[in-house]
Amino acid sequence: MATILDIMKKRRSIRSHSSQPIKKQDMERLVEAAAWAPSAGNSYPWNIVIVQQKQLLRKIQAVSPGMLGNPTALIILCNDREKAQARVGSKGRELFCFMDIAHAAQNICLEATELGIGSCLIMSFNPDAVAELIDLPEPYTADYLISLGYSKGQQVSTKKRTVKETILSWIKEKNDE
Amino acid sequence: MSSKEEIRSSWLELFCFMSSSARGLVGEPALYGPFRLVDSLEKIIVILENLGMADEFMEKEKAKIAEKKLIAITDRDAFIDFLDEIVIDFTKELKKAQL
Repeated sequence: MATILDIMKKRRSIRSHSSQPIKKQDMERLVEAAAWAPSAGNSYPWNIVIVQQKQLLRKIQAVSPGMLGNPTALIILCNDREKAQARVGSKGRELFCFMDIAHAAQNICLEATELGIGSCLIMSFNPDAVAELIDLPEPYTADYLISLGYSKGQQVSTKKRTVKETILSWIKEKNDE
Repeated sequence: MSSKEEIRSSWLELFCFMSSSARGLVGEPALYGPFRLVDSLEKIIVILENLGMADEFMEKEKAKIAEKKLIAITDRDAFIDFLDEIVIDFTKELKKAQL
């Protein structure tokens, strides 16, 4: 059985997918994974929009230069910053809500990896244009995209930093190994 | 691609891509600029292909771009070499052309 670290090591940005649509039960697993992500002050100021309609995917791709390849689905993480402000103050609005969707996005990508679904996190998109295309209600903003599809192609990057390269400093007791 | 409406839609798709790219690039890494331009080039060739206007040379260049563009993410120098290569490819073709 794969450990969580195995799944993390297997996850890569995948942009090449089969044309098979993502099954409803798999999509629900991804949403469940997102729902278990931590949130500052247990506020959960975000919700998800799922797009699995080919025409709309193509239109969103047109206003999302970072959305490459042929995904069959898209998860759009949308923040309600007013809710974040009300629950956890100005830091909630300016910072925590973005950290929250990043946690949720990571959970989605890891669960996707386990299900054989390739995922790619996208920040290069026009949020206003995406909001227009999906008729996003106010006060939500489209803040993070995850393109998805059953994996077909190879990952682009295989390089990751080592443990040594990752640590800036390790402050510990003198006697500890 | 046959109807005027379909042709219009595919150009609109490209215009959305290029204008969104222009806006996004204001705050994105410098190397994303050349990447978006090359990506646009590929999209233009796809439109010409669908219109039956792309020749063998263009199709070959499209395949090359599709294969190599993502190297921009992992290897800056290799991406620049790839840009040099396609500039010469297009220039050699232009040299043969009657303007």
